[in-house]
Amino acid sequence: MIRRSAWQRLGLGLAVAALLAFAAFPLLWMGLTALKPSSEIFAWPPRLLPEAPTLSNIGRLFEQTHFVTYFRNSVIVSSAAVVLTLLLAVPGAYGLTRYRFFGREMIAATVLFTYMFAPIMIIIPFYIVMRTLGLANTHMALVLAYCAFSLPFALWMLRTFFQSIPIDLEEAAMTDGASRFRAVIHVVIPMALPGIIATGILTFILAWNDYIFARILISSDNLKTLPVGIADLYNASVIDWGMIMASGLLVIIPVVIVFSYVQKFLVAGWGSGGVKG
Amino acid sequence: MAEVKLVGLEKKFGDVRVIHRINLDIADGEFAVLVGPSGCGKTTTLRMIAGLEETSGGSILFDGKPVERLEPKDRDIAMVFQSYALYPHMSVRDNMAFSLRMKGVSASEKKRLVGVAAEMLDITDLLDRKPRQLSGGQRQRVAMGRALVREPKVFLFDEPLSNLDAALRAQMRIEIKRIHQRLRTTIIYVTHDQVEAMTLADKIVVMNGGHIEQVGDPLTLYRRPVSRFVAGFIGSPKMNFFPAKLLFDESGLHADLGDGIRIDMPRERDAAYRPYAGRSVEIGIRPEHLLDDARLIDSGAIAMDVTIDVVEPLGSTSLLTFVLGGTSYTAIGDIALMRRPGARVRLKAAARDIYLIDPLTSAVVPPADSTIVRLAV
Amino acid sequence: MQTRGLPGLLLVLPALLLLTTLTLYPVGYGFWLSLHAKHSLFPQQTFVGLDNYLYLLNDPEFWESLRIGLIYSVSTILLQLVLGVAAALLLHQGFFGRNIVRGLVLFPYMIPTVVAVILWKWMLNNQFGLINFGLVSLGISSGPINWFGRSYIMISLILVSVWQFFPFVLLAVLARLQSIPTELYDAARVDGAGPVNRFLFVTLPQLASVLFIIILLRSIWMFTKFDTVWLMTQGGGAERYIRTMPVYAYLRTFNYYEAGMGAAVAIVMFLMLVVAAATYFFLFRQEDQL
Repeated sequence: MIRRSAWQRLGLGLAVAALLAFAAFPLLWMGLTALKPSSEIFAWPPRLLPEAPTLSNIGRLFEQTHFVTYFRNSVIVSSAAVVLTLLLAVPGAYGLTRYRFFGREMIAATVLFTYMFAPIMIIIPFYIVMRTLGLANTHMALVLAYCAFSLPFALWMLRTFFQSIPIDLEEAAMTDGASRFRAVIHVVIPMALPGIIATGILTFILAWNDYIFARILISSDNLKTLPVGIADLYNASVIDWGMIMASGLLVIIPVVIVFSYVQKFLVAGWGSGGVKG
Repeated sequence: MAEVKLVGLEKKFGDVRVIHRINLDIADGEFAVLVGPSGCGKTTTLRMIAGLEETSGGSILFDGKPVERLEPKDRDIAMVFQSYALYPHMSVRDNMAFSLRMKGVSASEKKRLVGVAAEMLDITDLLDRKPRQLSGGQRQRVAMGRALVREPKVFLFDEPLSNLDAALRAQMRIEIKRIHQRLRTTIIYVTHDQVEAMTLADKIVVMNGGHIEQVGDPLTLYRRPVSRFVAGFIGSPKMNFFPAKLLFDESGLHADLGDGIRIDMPRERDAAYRPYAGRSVEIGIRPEHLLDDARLIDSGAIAMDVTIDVVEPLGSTSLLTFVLGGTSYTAIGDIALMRRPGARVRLKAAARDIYLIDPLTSAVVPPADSTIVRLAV
Repeated sequence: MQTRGLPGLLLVLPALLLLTTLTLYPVGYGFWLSLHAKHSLFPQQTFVGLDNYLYLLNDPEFWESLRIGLIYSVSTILLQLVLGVAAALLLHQGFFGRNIVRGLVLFPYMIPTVVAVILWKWMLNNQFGLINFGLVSLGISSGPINWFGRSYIMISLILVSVWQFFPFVLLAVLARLQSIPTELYDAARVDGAGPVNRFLFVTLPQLASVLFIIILLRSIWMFTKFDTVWLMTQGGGAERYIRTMPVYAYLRTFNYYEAGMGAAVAIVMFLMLVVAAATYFFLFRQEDQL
């Protein structure tokens, strides 16, 4: 039990408030602006809360832009990326954990090594490769790119999770009459579910938030994902701040929802052998 | 060296009181052991003495001066932790010198003090190693060395031997006792193992549920437990508690244990035990006093005829388990008799070795007779 | 029990295949590309050997992008570290509502870069932004500051980057903090260490291995960051002055249409990182990590 004087409590409270203000307030401000009519947005001095909250910004967003299309595209691409990544990473991580084969550690290290190639180094050749394959300007290209970028981290994280599940459980299932495959499906996967979900969600967020690949690989307006679509909104000749703030608000809502569920998994994942020394 | 006194010490976690206003006097240079089952409050009490936990009431006095508001570093104590808590990135030498460094002691003085402590614990050749390169026993010694270096007024030990295997534990017990004999510093030692308590302590403090059940030297606690809890806690194997009915008839006071077993109460204790006649009681007999031994004479002895259920050879004796009224009890037998399960034997006990327990108060009824006092030697 | 091999290899194969074709192959192709002069949109290319690299050596734009890139990366990494560690220490204290605060503080990391950028562009707007309003009202500044002009663009960029990425540091450090055995702190208290000494001698050494990885990862990512820099500087008038290396590589490929040159810039970046990482490992490697 730590003894805390009144002064210390005050200091702690102030520090926490400052941190919270720094981190969260800008987002709050964006949300509030999105719900204000233009007259209030451009009022000087600015006021905190909207006096006459309105959905007109959101309305204009839907009517005057292809926001809905962008949203739909993002959902499609991100979901596909998650599915593909998990399909490859779950068996892959399992293979890396439970089997011994020549070059296993080397493969694991190489996988982690590829993670150090930042997108910008890959994007130019990647673009040209996609062009040659005729996949330029397709959603497929994006899905492949996102999968390639999530795989190293997914393999690493899932491997950690699998390692923490004692092999005794599979062995017990197998002595109970299950084949290895069924043992995995019925025993290991359910236990690793938090890790699988966390990995899926991180992949989703990576795909949902990406700008550079979407910018370079997609040129048709009707295929654009949200980040690119919104950036282009900003570059229009007259900046409609209310509408832009509304777009920002809508884009982060799925992330917020999804994130509040997965939050505790993330910290657990980091701590349980992830980055700890 | 310091005398430690706990006066009305209390601890609450929220609304839950875990330590109930305990009082304890520990003399200067005494080796006091706090012992009890998990959750009895012994570690909490130790941590309050150390200053790692705040008190909720009462005071802690070192040599008459209250210390409960002081930080651990100002109390002049040293502590050995259950998991040793050695600083993993520092060498053994730096671990031991850390507190001196905090005090600002000169380099030559540091070297001297560390050298002395290392020599006392036989770890001089380990000084340059890191904790992860050491075995459990070695880490234990380093943890003690770190405490010794400070030359504190009071040494505090929090279950230091529980992570060691049995052989090491026995060895370390001797080490600790030797150090105490040499330094004569006041030691407060926490353990759940009553064997450790019995072998190490000058004074044992038996705790249960945040209360002190009994304080005394090992022999007194063994011979004169005041409560059923202490009677059952001290002594291994555990004391047998036979439910019985205390009856009074022409032949005198006796206990009926069922299955035709009858134990006569010693005449000297009539006055003490008489008030319980007609009531349900418990008769306590330690296994080491309930013997299957052909050499025992019958006079003045209590006899029980039972059927042996399990035999566990221990070397020169064996542990005999028998069942009475659905419960298992233990007795000690001479291994030469080579008993088998199913054998019918007559167990004998000396009259003075039985205890009467009042099931309503869980207290051991004091025999209150001079014969017993004389024999408690 | 770990069975011998082949099935394991087969399980990993699909993932490996994808990674090889989509990551390793492009990297190799990038090397090859940098040795050619190639128009980004047409398939013809000519082998030019190291000409692209030689050109870059004499290219003032290249050196400027390196300089700007280093200023940007080093500043943001330092600030992310300091802020992240401080925030982690703060959140490690138990207080009412801590879990909610912890969740909220992670948001900047979770949102798309685009949103982070437009959000701050709005906050830093020279006419209607809150920041200017605050500065002027508090008398810190005489008039609204143009955060996107030449003098202040680097500061704005660093501000947004630190805001966006410090939660990463916070997450990793906090997780590690929570796994440090409290008995070590008890022992230190008994040994006479006050809060500062406890931080220096117990906390910091335990954090060393996490910090090692964090510094490595964040360095790689901040040095090669494209999105934030590009989006922050477009349209503010200061584009010319804030070209970091990734931006330069992008411009070479998609504005000048010289894919070979762009690839060369990317490869130079990569080589720099490899050298830096190797030096870093050599100097600071922690025994008990990975």
